[in-house]
Amino acid sequence: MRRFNTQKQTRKPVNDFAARRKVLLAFMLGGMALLVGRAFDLQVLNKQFLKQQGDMRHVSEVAVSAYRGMILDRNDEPLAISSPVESAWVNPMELAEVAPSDIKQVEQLLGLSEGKIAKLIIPGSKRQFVYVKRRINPDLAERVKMLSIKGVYFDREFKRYYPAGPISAQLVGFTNIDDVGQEGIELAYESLLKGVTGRKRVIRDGKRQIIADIEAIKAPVNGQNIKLSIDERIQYIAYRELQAGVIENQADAGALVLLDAKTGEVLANVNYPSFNPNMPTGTNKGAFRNRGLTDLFEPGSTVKPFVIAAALQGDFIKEGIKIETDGAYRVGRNVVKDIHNYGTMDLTQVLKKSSNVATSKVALTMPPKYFWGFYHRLGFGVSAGLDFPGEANGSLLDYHRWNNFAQATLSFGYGVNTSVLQLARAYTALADDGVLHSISLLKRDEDSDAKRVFSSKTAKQIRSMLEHVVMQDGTAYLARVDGYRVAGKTGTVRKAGAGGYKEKKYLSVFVGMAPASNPRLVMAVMVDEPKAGKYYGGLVSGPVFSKVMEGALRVMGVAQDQVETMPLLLSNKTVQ
Amino acid sequence: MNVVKIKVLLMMGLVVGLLGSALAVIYSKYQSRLLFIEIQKQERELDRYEVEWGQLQLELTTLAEENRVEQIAREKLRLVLPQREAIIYIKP
Repeated sequence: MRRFNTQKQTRKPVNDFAARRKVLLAFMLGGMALLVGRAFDLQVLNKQFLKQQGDMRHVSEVAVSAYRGMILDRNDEPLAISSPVESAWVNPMELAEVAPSDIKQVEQLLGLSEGKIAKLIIPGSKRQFVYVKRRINPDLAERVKMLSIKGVYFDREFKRYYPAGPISAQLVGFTNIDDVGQEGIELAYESLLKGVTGRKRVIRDGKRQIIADIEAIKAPVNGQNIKLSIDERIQYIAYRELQAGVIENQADAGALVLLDAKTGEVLANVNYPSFNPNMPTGTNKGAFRNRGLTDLFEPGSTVKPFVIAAALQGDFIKEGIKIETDGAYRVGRNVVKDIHNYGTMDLTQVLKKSSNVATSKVALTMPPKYFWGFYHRLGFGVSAGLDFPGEANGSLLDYHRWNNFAQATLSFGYGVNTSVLQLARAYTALADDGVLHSISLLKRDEDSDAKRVFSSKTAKQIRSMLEHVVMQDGTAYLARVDGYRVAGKTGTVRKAGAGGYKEKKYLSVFVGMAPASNPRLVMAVMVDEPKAGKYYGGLVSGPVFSKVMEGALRVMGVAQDQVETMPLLLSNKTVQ
Repeated sequence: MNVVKIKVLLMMGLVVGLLGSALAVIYSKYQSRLLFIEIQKQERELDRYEVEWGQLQLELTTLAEENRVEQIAREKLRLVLPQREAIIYIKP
């Protein structure tokens, strides 16, 4: 550097470089003119052509659809599966340049009526996207793609299949054509199931087909699987028997809920009438409703065991008490009646014969606040908190507004509204020795939210009384299950409607548990308006209970406990 | 003199380094293209398998559907639930 500097210093200043400057300027001017000319050429003269060429080699972003999670039963049997399908759409503006014979070919392959695509081409129309056929078999889509016709595209979509069909339709729900949950679990767990659509950048060719992926912008996140507490095998048995029961009794509808008595899981939840969730359109909207969870009714006599339990627990009556009934009982200005005059009854007979008079008398021994609190703790008027769409809260009259007659009617199940599920939940307290369980539609190993509502002793007392209900002279002999001890209670409820209680419109209810020595399952069955003659809970719902319970106990592998009636009992020593 | 020599050597070294890295870039770009093509191929394959898996799963659930199983068991294989009296219980 130093040397260079010294050289420069020794040079003499030169002044005249005019010629060089001109050459240089001319060069620069020429270069500029060339650039402007080229820019003009590109921007103005060839714009149309270049733009088209650019669009052809278009780099664009496309969505990568994510799988919707499966809905599984407790044994991983799928209740809802998504399977990829293709949806065909066209760009009418581009179709204008396609030969009519090609369009006809596409119509034929897709099974569309002739001219269906062709008539979408309207000169001057700016439409660029029309679905022509959604959710077609991927193989068929492949065949149409092979024709590589401009303006015909396919999008990956998912079709939801429900292998169980109508059996679990109201519980699982269904999705609409855009794969968004509309009912049931599909709706309740939409955010977990749906997953997140990804995006990727792609290069398209002149026919706008994707020829290469450039990069993934965002990977798709598949939806989560939801594992329900439902056992599909029990669900099937329950649906079959409920359907048979509803049809045989010419009833309007039926609902059934089966709970695990130890964990509070819902093992079966079926409703009839049902629908095919694979094609839900055109179904009577009433069939969409999960009656067992969303519909309220007055539970009638099925609450009577709780009245006795409350009185025993609070020491308002003794176990050996005898109650005079006389067939009728005056409470204030009203009269509570029984169907027959049962005379003097003990507590077992009260439940066995379902005496309104006796339960009213028992109920009126208790202060309203205590009685109300007992019902409230059993979950009457309290939602089961499943987050199921349309799930019922139920209702229970506030005790400040009670008079004696209201308290008496509450004791035989009027003035309180409950769903089939809530009724079954209340019975878990009897089944699990006084512990009321929270309810779950998702599989779990134990109930972390169980709470004791009465003592184990009370629960066992009531249970042994309820075993008499299914004996030969009880109200629900048909609800018995061979080989198992069953405890349960019938309810035959007058339906309330506009203008009060209806004549000859009944709900037939049966709630029970088995095996009574150590209940594993609790089931509530409700049949709405049987019209074939029989309407007593024990005659209509009892047989359904019996068959479903028998099947469920077998599926669950529950050991028989009716030891004394077993046909043959061998000990290890006698088996050779 | 020495300084010039060092500079020339340094320059040559840098040129060689530059050439080397340029070639390395070309090579790795080439490799990445190859890998990308491979990835795409595998992804297409994966996609195809996923479609097939979905269909097989559907087929399986359709075939194993309770209603169908029961019908075959009862009608074709003539299976019945044994009468309670016919069961011998063994209690240890």
